[in-house]
Amino acid sequence: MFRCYFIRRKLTEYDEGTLPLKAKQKVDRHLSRCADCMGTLYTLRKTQQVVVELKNEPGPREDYWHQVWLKLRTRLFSH
Amino acid sequence: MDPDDKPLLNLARTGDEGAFEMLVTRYQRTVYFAAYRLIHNHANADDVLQETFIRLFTTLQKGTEIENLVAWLYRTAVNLSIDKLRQTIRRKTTSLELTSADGEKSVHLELPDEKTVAPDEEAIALERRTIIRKAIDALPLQEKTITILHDLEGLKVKEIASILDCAEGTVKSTLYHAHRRLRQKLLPLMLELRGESAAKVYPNELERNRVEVEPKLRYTSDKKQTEIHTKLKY
Repeated sequence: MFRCYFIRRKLTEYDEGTLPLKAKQKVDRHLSRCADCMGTLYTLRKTQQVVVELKNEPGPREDYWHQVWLKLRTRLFSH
Repeated sequence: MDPDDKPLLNLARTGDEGAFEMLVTRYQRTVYFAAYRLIHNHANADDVLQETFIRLFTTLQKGTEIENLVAWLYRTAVNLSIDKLRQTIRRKTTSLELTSADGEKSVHLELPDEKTVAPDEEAIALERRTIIRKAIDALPLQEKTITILHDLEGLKVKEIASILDCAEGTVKSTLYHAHRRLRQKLLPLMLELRGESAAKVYPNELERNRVEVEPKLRYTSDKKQTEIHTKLKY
């Protein structure tokens, strides 16, 4: 239980692949025998999978991007 | 940082318009979406975008070295976005307030503009995004900021710590708490991805989080409107 507390706080970095090798191996070993922590990792990934759906929010129209520079140029380079 | 950035920055520092235009073209989407995902308002995101690049120009003109342009842009855009959010809260902009099933007011929610009738799949996707957006907007500001930078912008813990000028431990801990809160609110959506119902598959998860979420989705007969009622219990 105590160990699970520390393992769970490493799961974000474990998932993003930025844990040092030895730490990653420790987490691997723990996850192979702890269903609870494995469940936490699973729901972490599922949560992120859902949050990422916001990337599908429609952005501005394509002509907006051309206007960004025109507006900036007027403000910065017109004398 | 893109290795091409350094020569462009050096040229822009001399006032070269073409070099600065290339930097704007290269990073305008990055800055815009970082702001938009925090603020969820196009006009304000546009303001942040403009102001970020104006500050970049001014910083370069002063001769200041920028070691990591991407981190600099994110830092500036995030800070400006947070200022905008605080201004919006103070001004109490008109936005749709959702009322929970028991009559209590819940958090503000600005619905995205939808000009045309959406087909069924798009309507469902919009509805899901609205629920997700509401859950993220309900997070404390620091949790929301870090969640967006990590989960949506794809930045690593170390990069976020550099951008927000805080300890990596703070980022990890904040992200941990944010994900816990989001899990509670998004569990039914997460389980829909597997095609299972919350109560059936994860009774222990629900018990652990002491949550009961019943998103109720209603369409009018001509499917022009979507009503979302969310009943939350903690």
